[in-house]
Order: sequence, then C-alpha cells, then structure tokens
Amino acid sequence: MCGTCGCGQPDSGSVHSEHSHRHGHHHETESRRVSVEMDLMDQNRVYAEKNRTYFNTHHMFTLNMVSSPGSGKTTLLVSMIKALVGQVEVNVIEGDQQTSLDADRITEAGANAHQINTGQMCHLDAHMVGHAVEHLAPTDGSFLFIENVGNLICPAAFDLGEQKRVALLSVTEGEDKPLKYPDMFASASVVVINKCDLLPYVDFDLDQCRENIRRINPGADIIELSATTGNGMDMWLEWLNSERDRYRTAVVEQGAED
Amino acid sequence: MHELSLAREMVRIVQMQADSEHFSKVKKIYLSLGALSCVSAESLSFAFDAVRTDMLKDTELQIEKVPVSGQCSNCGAETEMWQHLEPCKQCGTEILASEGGEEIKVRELEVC
Repeated sequence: MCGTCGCGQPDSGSVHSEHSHRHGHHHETESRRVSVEMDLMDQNRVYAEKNRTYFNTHHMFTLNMVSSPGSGKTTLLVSMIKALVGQVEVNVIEGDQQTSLDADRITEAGANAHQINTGQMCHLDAHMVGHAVEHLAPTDGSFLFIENVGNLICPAAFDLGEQKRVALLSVTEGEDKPLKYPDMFASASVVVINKCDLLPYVDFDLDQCRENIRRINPGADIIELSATTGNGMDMWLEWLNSERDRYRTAVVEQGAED
Repeated sequence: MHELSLAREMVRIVQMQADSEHFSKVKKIYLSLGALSCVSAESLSFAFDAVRTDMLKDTELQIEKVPVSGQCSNCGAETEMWQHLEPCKQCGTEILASEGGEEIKVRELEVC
C-alpha cells in the first residue's frame, strides 16, 4: 500500500511522485495543470442558438429591446401592439427585477405576455428566454418582442437568439449615451430615439446624437419618434414590417433548401 | 453586475473539470478577458470571492486582459484595441471593432 496516501498502490518511496499521476487521484502537495479552454459565455451561446433555431423553424420574428430604465420601451411596445393587434399575434417577454406591472400593461394592450422577474440579475439570458417561450406557446409566424431589463451595460453581452436588437434612447437622456455605452449601441441593428415630443423642452442635440450613433455603429438604422404622441410611429412600423417580411422570406427559402 | 452570473458559471466549469479530472483543490485559475467583453476584471474577482466553494477557498484568480486587433478604415494599419473607437496608431482615425475581443475564457487550472 502507498504509505503517502494509503491508496492501494505499492509504496515506491522516492519514486512515489511517478505513480501519483496514474491512479486516479493526486496528493495535496503535488500540483498539475489542467487545460480547460472554455468560455464563460459558451453555455449562453448554446441556448441562444437553440432559441434561434426554434424561432426560425416557427418563422417568429424576434426583437431584443434594450435601453436604460425609463427610455420608454414599454410605452413603445404598447403603442406597437395597438397598431398590430388584429393583424398578427404579438408575444412579449418582459424582463424586470420585480413586479408584473409591465406584463399587465402589455396584456391590457392586447398581446400575450410572460413576465420574468430576474431578482438579483441585471439582464436576461438565453436560458430564461427559452423557458419564457415555452410558457407563451406562441403561434407560428407571430411576433416576439423581448423587453430586456433596463440597463445599458450587461444585456449587451447576452445573445438571446433574437434576429434584431433594438436600442432605445430618449431625448431626456443626453446625446452622448451612444459613446458612453458603446457596447450596447455597437451591437444594435436599429436605434430608436424616443420622446421626440419633448425636444422643445430639453437640451438635446439631435444631429449630434445621430452622429454619435453613426460613429459607434455606421450600419445601424435610426428612427426618431414619440411613443406617447404617436409621431414617427408610422416609420417604426414600416421598419418593423419590412424587416419581418425580409426575415420570413429568408427563413422560408432556407426551409425549402433544407 | 453580470459578473456574478459569470463567476457562478466559472465555478460550474471548474466543478465539471474536478469531476472528470479528479482533483479536490484549485490553486490557480487562468482566465483570459477580451477587451470588448463588457466585463470588469475587478468586478469579476469581487464576484468570485462571493461564490467560492470549498475547493476554491484559496484559489488565485489570474485574469489576463487581451486586446483585439482592429484595422484602420483610413490607412489600413493594424492597431491593438483596448476599447471601442480606439484611435489608429498611424493616423488617429477611430477604429470600429469588427470581430473578436469578447472572450471570457477559462484557459487552464493549476490543481492538486
């Protein structure tokens, strides 16, 4: 028996270290390197791909809506739902730290909603979204909007399997936000500048804001509107419908090829 | 503060390795952190302290920050980027991030 650890291997005295690596366990004093090469976001990526495959199979155009708290994500959603209801099924996943207040507003407007309360978490991840979709049981071809937790930093890192990421910014926040929070604005497909009805009352340079968005993300579409008054909503709905049509044509063609 | 979620994921990955590689103590975790990963090394270390298990009681978390290479759209020079809109080292033009720089990778463990 090994005198060092009592493991049942013969005690070979000075050559003990030579057998220690071969019998399934190791002694406290002896260290070794284990190669891992695993990314902490790998698991989220796997779930995000799973979600994306589900959305593509079911032709669901999915948007991930991100902004700081109070930029008007829920108000924009309510306004959109009112315009879309009756034409297409709308599903919404609401992410908030606490309460179901937002999901209640969405349901009242005529969409299906599922509230995720993230508790101590500052973002939604792809795993939570997958389960929320199971709860919603959406119809093929419907819209899915994911209203992320109000936070301009953390949600940027988490792919949820969406087709497009919408970053919202309101004119009460300052035109320098895209430069102060570059990760989020760099990853957006479209930036919505909201609360434009307040422009006469606030010190907000719209041209500078557009310029700042283009600096960090030259390819992003920019849409200016007021979700409260409805001004500019037609442009937003046009963007939404044309992107959805483009997406559906692509997934149908892809499906036919497969 | 998504560093807390990441620290938990790191503990999960180490535990998985412990199960397959049969070790009971981790001396060091070598982690590489991409410049555009949206993660603060300090917050990640702080969060790691909050979620240490017995096996990780005395573990040193060694974080290596890794830049990403960006090409200038004006002069074509390659510049090491440590943040978005890093100025080109040749002509000063702001460089847009293209691919990469997002890794948060557990590379290696020193175990016993």
